[in-house]
Amino acid sequence: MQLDPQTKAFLAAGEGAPPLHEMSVADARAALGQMSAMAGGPKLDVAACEAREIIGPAGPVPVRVYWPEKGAGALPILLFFHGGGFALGDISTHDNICRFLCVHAGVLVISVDYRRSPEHKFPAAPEDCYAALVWAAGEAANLGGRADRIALGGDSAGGNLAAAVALMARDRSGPAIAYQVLIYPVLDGDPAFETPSRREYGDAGYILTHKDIVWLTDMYAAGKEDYNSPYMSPLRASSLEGLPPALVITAGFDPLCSEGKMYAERLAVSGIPVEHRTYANTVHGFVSFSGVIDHGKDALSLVSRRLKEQLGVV
Amino acid sequence: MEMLSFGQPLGAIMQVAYLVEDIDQALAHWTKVLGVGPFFLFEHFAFHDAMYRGVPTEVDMTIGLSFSGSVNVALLVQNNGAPSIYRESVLARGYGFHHWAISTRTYDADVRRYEGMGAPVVFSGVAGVGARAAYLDTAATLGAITELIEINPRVEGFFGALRRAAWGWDGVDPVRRFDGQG
Repeated sequence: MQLDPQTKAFLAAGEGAPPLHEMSVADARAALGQMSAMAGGPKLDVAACEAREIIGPAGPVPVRVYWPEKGAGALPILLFFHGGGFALGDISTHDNICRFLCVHAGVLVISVDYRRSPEHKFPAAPEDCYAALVWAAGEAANLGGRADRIALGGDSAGGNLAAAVALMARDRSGPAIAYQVLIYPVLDGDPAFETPSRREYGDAGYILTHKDIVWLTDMYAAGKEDYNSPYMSPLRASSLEGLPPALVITAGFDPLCSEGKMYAERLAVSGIPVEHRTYANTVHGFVSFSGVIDHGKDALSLVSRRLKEQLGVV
Repeated sequence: MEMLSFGQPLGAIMQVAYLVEDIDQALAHWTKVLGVGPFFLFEHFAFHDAMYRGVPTEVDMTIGLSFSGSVNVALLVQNNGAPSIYRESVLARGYGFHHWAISTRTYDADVRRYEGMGAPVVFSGVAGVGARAAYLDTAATLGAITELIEINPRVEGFFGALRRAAWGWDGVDPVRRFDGQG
């Protein structure tokens, strides 16, 4: 298995830049913003896009709402959690992804600006995201959405949050979730967690390294005991039964590849309809680089088709 | 009459199940020839507390599930040699149609009712999704097995997700696996 030429070229263009964990948080945030601006796909036109504020557990949480069309009746809803290691990334870095999914899946997208580390430790992020779910279900009718057709989705740390919120909704008898889309999610909070892909690609220098994971975890977790929470480590949930059907997307050259597959397998064994797709020749974060890596666009198209299929009004 | 969320009335046949020798061949037939799909493939499908003719057993099943209209289609392969209704049926009648499943909210009473009619439970267990299932030996009279599936919200949600996929299917990716290549 080899990296595809586009991924190779993308990595080559970034050579010489300092690794994430050697930067300040501010610089790393700026670097990620720059990378997504340069390599992200186009910002497609949507019918409407509005900033809102919801009531979170510790104050207002900004969200951005995207409509594929207005006045179209009740639309399915995708609640989207951006990636960035719980510390980086924001609504803007993932604006193009949300626009793509809004247009191609024909769903109302709600992108959540949850509290990030290191300013806010776990469980601030999943609690904000859960509050956004409760809000989306309650406000669905006013937004032109359907409360019985809510999907969760996210990439990387956002995929972790999507998995966590699905568990929270189950455990708390919260709003019903119709589907979950986990894009190269991190699924165990312990940086020492060992998997074949973490061993093989932890030091490979492909976007995300073991040292980055340690750096990000130190900012996110208040202590090691947090690793045991299924809302930080969904793989540690004692049961995955009763969770919504899932699409798990992984990248072959990603330290997080194995855990995505493990989670998909555990979901399947728990009787959850699940699909796992590996984009074997590319790296962590490739969906954010869909402007220069075609696999990113392919994956977003796949997600759009599945959202349509699973959230369709039939 | 109560309509279940996946579109079949409670108490109606909700599933037709086939024992297949080669799952890939069976999936190709169902998706290409019959146009049924997409199938979700469950390798090592969870089936807890399995009992075969009064004795605990541990079956290792691969199951492909999809919907034709509002009827669930199940393609079954037993991966191990543990005693089971599946193995018994293959030995007695060969591969092919195996059972109809009927949904119930009155599982225990229905099991007793069938037993009273001379159709004893030959196999039972709890599917991962939380559904109790009992296989009744109706082979002598019907030429096939009858299964009772206990309905709860999670079971309805599970089958509902499969049915939504089938009704929304665009014809691409007929089989959904957990080792699919992008």
